[in-house]
Order: sequence, then C-alpha cells, then structure tokens
Amino acid sequence: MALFRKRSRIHGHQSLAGWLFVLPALAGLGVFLLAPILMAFWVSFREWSALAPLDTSTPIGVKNYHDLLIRSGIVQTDFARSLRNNLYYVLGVVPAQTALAFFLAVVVNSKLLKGKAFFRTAFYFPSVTSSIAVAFIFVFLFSPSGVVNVLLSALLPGVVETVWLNEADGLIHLALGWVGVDSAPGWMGGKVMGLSLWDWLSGPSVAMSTVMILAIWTTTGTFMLMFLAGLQNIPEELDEAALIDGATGRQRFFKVTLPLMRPTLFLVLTLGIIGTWQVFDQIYAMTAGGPQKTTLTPSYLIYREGFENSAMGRAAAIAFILFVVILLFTGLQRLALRRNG
Amino acid sequence: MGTRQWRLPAALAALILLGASACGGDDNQGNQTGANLQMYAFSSSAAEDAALNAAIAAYNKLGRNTVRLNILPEYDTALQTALAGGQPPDVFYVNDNKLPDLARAGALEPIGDKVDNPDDFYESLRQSFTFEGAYYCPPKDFSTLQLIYNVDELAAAGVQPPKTWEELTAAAQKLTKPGRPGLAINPEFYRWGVFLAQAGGWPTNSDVTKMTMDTAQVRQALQYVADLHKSGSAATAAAVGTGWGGEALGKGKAAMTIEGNWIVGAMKADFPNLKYAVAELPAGPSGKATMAFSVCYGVAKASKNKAAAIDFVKFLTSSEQQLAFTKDFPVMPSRKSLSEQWLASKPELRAFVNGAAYAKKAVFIPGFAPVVDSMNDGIQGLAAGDRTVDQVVMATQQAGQDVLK
Amino acid sequence: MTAARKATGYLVLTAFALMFLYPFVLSLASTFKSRAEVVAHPVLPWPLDPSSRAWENILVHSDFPLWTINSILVTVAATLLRLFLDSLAGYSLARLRWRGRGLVFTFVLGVLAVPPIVLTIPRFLVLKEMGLLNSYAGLVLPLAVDAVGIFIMKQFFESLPPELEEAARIDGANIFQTFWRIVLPLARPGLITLTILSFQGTWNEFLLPLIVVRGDPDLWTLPFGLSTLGRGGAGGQSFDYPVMLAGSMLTIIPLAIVFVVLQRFFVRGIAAGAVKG
Repeated sequence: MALFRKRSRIHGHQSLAGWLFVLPALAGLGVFLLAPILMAFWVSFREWSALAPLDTSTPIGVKNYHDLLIRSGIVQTDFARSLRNNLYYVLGVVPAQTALAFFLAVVVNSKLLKGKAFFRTAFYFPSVTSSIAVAFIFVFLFSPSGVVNVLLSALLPGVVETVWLNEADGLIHLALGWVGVDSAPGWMGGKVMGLSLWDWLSGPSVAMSTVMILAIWTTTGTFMLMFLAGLQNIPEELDEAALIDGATGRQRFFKVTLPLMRPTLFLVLTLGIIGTWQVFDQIYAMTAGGPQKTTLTPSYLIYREGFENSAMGRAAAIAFILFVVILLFTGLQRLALRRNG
Repeated sequence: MGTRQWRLPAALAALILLGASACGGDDNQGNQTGANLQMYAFSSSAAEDAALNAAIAAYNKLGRNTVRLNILPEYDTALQTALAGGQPPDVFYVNDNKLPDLARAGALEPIGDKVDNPDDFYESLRQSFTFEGAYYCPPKDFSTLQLIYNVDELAAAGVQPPKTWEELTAAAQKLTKPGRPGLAINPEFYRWGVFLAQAGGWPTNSDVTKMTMDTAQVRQALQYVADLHKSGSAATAAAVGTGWGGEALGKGKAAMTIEGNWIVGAMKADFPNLKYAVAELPAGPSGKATMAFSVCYGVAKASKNKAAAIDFVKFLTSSEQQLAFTKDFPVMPSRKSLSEQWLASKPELRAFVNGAAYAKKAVFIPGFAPVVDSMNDGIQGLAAGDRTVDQVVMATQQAGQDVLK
Repeated sequence: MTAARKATGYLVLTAFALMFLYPFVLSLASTFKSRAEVVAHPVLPWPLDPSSRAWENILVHSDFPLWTINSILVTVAATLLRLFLDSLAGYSLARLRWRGRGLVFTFVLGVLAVPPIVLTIPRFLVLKEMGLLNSYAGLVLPLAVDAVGIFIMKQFFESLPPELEEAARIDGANIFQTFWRIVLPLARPGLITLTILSFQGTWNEFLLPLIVVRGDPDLWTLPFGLSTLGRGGAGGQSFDYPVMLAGSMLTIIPLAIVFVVLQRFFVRGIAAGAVKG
C-alpha cells in the first residue's frame, strides 16, 4: 500500500515535470511552426496570389485539392509526376544513406582504427560544404567529358558519353528496353491521376539518379554523426560479454549492436524519409525539375506554384497532401521496425 | 472535417488580416520632398550593381528625397514576402513575365505614362508592361535574342551568317563536326519561341484568350527545329555538357547559339579570348522575328510616398540615366531616341538593337507559368527525340486551354 | 592475411575520404582561379594562375566583419537555447511518464512533416504580427527550438541505460536535479551531436534572414550577406564562381573548427563506466 502511494506520488511529480519540461519547447514550436502551419492550411482552401495581403484571397473550398487529385488536367499530371519522381527518390536514397552512414559510423567508432579524427572529419565534410559548391562540382563530374564518364570508359568496353543530368529515360524503362520491351503493353495504358501505369513504373530517370547520388553523398555525414552518438551509448561490457560467450563479429553485430541501436535507427530512418520527401535544394540548384519534368518533386512544385506562378493556395494544398504521404510512410516504417523487434 | 478544427486557423488568419489591413498603404501623395524611399532590386552583374548605386547616389544628392537600396538574393521570394505582408518597398524591379500576376494582384500603381516623354519607349516594351489596358511601369532597359557565332570557325568553314532557315540548316550542317553540333540552343520556350514567331505562329493569340499551338505555323516551326536536332547539326547546351549557349560557344562545343545581350558580359568574364559576333536571326517563312525581355521600375500601390516614388522613377528613366546605366552593362536603353548614342560605343551589337523592331513580347496572363513549363517539357522531348511534334502541340494546347478557360 | 585485409580496409576508407573531401579542396582551389580559369579547368584541384581577386572582393569590398559578428551572436544564442530546450523536452518525452506524451511526440513529428518551403510567407506574417521583424530576436527566437533536435535527444535518452537515474531518484534527487546532474553529463555524445547540428543549421540559415532582416543590412548574417555577392554576368546564366566559392569557404571555416574540436569528445564508454562505478 505504502509502496503504491509512493509510486503514484512520483507519477504525479512526473506528470507535472513532464509537462513543465516540454512546455518551453512546445511554446516555441507552437508560435513559430504550428501557427504558420495552421495559416498555410487555411490558405490551402483559398485562392491567394501572395502578392497582396491575405485579405485579398478568396475562399474556394476544396478546389485546390480537387485540381491536384481528381480533375484531369496539367495541374494533376504535374503533381502525379512529382509524386512518382519523389517516390523513386525516397526508395533509392533512404536505404542507401542509412546503410552507408551506419557503416561509416561503425568504422570510425572502432577502437582499432588509426586516424579516427581525420576520417570522422572527412566523412562529415559534405554536410558543411555549401550546396552551391557541391552542385557546381557535381555538374562537372557528371558532364559528358567529366570524371565519371572518363572512369566508366576506362572500366567498360567502348566510350561512355552519357549526359547524366540531361537524360530523361527511366531506369526501369531502360532495363525493359534492353530485354526488348520498348513501349507499354496494352494493359498498362490505364491511367492513375492522369499518368499511365507505364509512366508510373518508369523508375527514376538517369538525371534523377544523379541527383540521388549527390543527395546520398551530402546527407551521409549528418546521419553518421547520429549513429556515432548512438554507438557511444553501447556499454563496452556488453560487447565484451558477447565476445567471452564466443560470439563472432557478425553475431555480435546483429545480436548486440543492432538491437541497441534501434532508437537511433528509428531516428535516422524517420528523418531520412521526411528529408527525402521534402527534397528541394538539390533540385533547385541542379535541374529545376527538368529534363522533361523527371526531377520535378512536390517541394519544387510548391515553390513553382507559390513563388513563380503566384498560386499560393495550390502550393499550400500540395504541401498538405505531401504531409499526409510523409505521415503514411513514417507510420509504415515505424510498424516495420516494431515488427522486427 | 469538423468545424472545431476550423476555428483556430480562421481566428489566426483574422488576426493577421486585421494587422495587415491596419498597416495597408493609404494614398498620401502630398509629400513630395523629404520622403524616405525604399527600393528592391536584383543583381545580374557587378556592373549593374555599381551603375544602380551610382544612380541612387546622384538622386540622393539632389536633396528631394532619400532612397535606400536593397539588392537582394532570391528576389522573387523576398519581394513576394514583402507584398504579402502589406509593406512592399516603394520602388522595385519587375520582370516582364511577372507583370500580369503583380497587376492582377493589385500590387502595382499604373505610372507608366507619368515619366517624361513616355512615347519615346519602344512600343513592344510598353506592351510588355501593359495589362488589361493599364500601362503599369516604364521599362528600365531590354535585351533581345539574336544569333551569336564564332567568327573564326565560320570564316574557316567559309560560312556566312545565315539569313534564312534554309541557310541556317546549311550553315549548322557545315559547322557540325563528329560528336559536335554546329548550333547549340537551350531547350526552352524563351529560345525556341523565335522560330515559332518566324513561322508566323505563337502559343496564343495576341490578347492571350485562345491557345494557337495547334496550327500549321507552330507545327512547321517545331518540326524545323526538331529536325535540326535529329540530324545532329543542332543540340541542347546540356547535351554538349554545358549550362547554356554562351558556355557552349565559349568552350568550342558549338559554333553558333541563340542568346541575348547578357552574353556580352558573360563572355568577357568567362571566355575573354573568344572572337564572336552577333548577327540577326535568320528570317523564317513569315519574315524576321525575335523575342524581347525587359525589366521595369514598378511603384507599389501600397507605397505611402507615391509622388516621391514617381519622381525617383522619372529620374531613373531620364535619358542621361539610361545612357549611364547601359554604358558598361550591355543591355539596351528602352528609349528609342537613345539607340544610336548607345551604339556609338558598341557598334558590334547593332543586331540586338535591330531586334527591337520585330520582337515579340514573351508575356502572357496570370497563372500561365505551368503552360510555359509544359511547353518546355515538350521542347526538351523534341530536342531529345523522345516525342513527336504532334504530341507536344496537343499537350501544350490542352495545358493552355485548362488555364485560359 | 590480416595485414593485407587491414591495408585494403584503409585503402577503402581513404578512397571514401578523398571522395568526401575533394569537392572541398576543389572549392578552395577555385577561389584562387579567375572566372575564365574556373570555366576552362573546372576540376583541377589547384589554380594555374593564382589570383586573389575573389578574396579581395569578399574580404575588402564587403561588410563581412559586421555579418560575421551578427552570425556569431545569432548562432551562439540559438544553439545554447536549443541545447537546453531540446534536451529538456527530449528527456521528458523519453523518460518521464505523463499523459499526452505520445500525442506531444506525434505533434513534434507532425510539425516536421510539413514541407518548410510552404511556410515561408506564413512565418513572415507571424513574425510581423509579433513585431519581430528587423531585430535580433526575430533571428534567434524562431531557431531557438527545433523539432529535429527534440527528436534526436528523445531517441538518444531512450538508448541510455536507466539504472543511474533510478538510483539518483531513490537517493532523493528531484527530477530536474536528476536530469541536470546525472543525465546530462551522461548524454555527452548526444549533446555534442546536437551542438554540431544546431550550430551548422543556424549558422547556414538563409531563409530566415531573407524574410526577417532583408531590409536592414545592419542585421545581415554572413551566409545571407555573402549570397548578395557574386551573382551575375549574364542574367543568372553565368555566375562568378570564384567569389561565390570564396564566400562559401568563409562560412565553412567556423563550422569546420567547431566540428574538429567537438568530435574529439566522442569517446566511447563513459556511460558504461559510470554505471559500473
């Protein structure tokens, strides 16, 4: 009984302290993020040029959402294309950046490694190098006579002259082309959101794949840092105990390290999914949505509609549809991670 | 969606509205002297920044008003934010293609005719800044597209600058070397559009109420340029590993390109040793045509110092200031009367000036950007050989009809 | 055999390191090239004909000392606030039992899921209503809390062994004392990570100065001020890369120093040792 009372008192304290601890942060997020978010949400049901104060906007109900999702037309197809492009981007970048970051973190955390400080700094550097510089350099590396083609020409038979950032063909379409399938089989003519199934299944374009490589390369450092912080928490005794029990390196990794890294893995995957679904900077700096709209992404579309086309209401609606997509994906990821645990 | 969730954003928005309308600009025109004016501009070169700063220093010295200049990066976002907040700068640069949106939103005071001798400005430029009958702002200067070529290469190949489409085809073919096209063009409407105009076609009718992509003229023009690409005698700047036509020319990745006045400053900085020249674009089936691009000095409708702002714009658009502004910065004065004076120090750029007589304005209506985007998409497909003229024409026609109706 | 494997390992790591550092070295070299040389020899990691023009532009003909001071003030203030507020909130969400914390955490994630680009103008309107335009407060306060930081700290605290806190509680320490004296010292790797990321994020912030202080050059920060230089030549077609890259070098240096200094504190086994003791 006494024990019970004591515990409930602690619970009372914890409840109060819990709220007190999050309150300042919540206040900040509420004012500087939630308020703008609610305003943007409200705008998504209006027509607003954003070239004059909000009171010049007019209510139009769900028209913005209807135009994007249901009414066939250029607005819908552009949005469908952006979703397709970004989906391939997420599926390509998230696993690759997570795996690479984890691998590098394990390596630079190793006791045996000499020159740790150097390697840590080197691997982190793309995160600080300015995106202008990075985009600038990638354009040259991937130009027709650039380093990448020179290397590939040396490794592969023949001369490689791919214009990476100008190639709109999808990877899956290219692969199908190699086995002789050049156009849509009849059953793939059906359209979803104004885009045929064949177009949905194009795969990322060569240009988009180049942007993906750049993204993996720039984000790995940040995620490596998070994994590194997580690895620091694993008590050495655990590793040692496993070692004494005769566990091999691989067993130790899968049975000891990986389960303990679950919170960090959840962090990295969630931030990775959110970040990749919101990709904007790289597209803005390198391709502006081209070639042939194969690098158009929802965030870039938000910019185009809101700031170049003065359709802020539609831009806001895109943002909230994307919001739902992101929540769906993070939810799925959470379920998958929990299932494996 | 319940009504409950609605209240908060609505209340919040109401709050903002109150604030915005409280600060919203009222006309307060009497105060012509002693006003503090703010101006926003974007930078296209160090030379332009210097010229603008010098002009403002000269104006401030007159003692009538004081102008504070902000040259801003991400200009569109910065300006849009200021306008949305109801406190825009008094005077700001307006790109011609942004004019319809700004005019429709009621962001601009129509002051085009309030400067000295307004009829001296080129008519096509005045049209670029006219929307639904109102002439909003006087053009600062302008550029036209013309044919830029490598002098030595053309001489070595014995090729004259082409005067007709047939000659262009022949010249491009003759200048093409294995793996390298004779002509490089950026795959976008703001380049390919000249061919549409030369064939007598255009994406829309002149008052932008109907799409006219689906016409024989537009088809002929697109087919002509697509064929140039298919034959290998033309390619996009990107296909030869460069960012734009000037770079392709400078790096010897093409012998000819289609660009505007800006190429002069860029070549001087990036390829100081290249010998190039500017010729008028070849005439098409319906004669000569090109496109003009311009920027104007807009005065905000919400400005509290409109009279002072107009006084300042008058000063900036005076003949002396226009000449000073365009001296080291290769755009052209927007006043017809100044063209010969401008050419006196740059006779080699005459083709750009000549373009003013037959240039089309590349300005449509509010909300047209996705249509231009769609056209660019099609043009990229044509250049890459991925699409047919018919597909591009129909897709753009459809996209435009969506917006125009 | 193991020596060979080790050598291969180092070879792979060095290859990675070169790949990751090359753009930086190239940017540095390009700041000493002329515009023409950057275009002619873009990937050469040293200048053929060194020129100091770009650095003169940046260091002599700009307000960079003022911008640097502003950037330091804003970044330090925002980073300190973030460290404190994010770790408080993260700890509460990770360890304390209270009703609604699941909801609060979902809220934090939800806030992240809204694409920030769409919030540019609404954020400006909120800051305007609060009278924060053209002020240091307007530059610092919106950056003082961030959802990513709370998320990082929450996940980090969750991976700490709970025994020590329980011991402290039983010894009669209150919750804040436990947090401040016991948990925070254990959380050093997490705090270092957050410091690095916050410093980098707030230092590089570009959009906020654009909307808050664009009209008041006295309050411009370094990355924003530098972004006003080096455009041009061709209506956005051709850029003055040496000047732009020199600007980016100038912004990278403090970040590099912060990282090099702080990464030394990634030493494994503190938490483990403490539990044992």
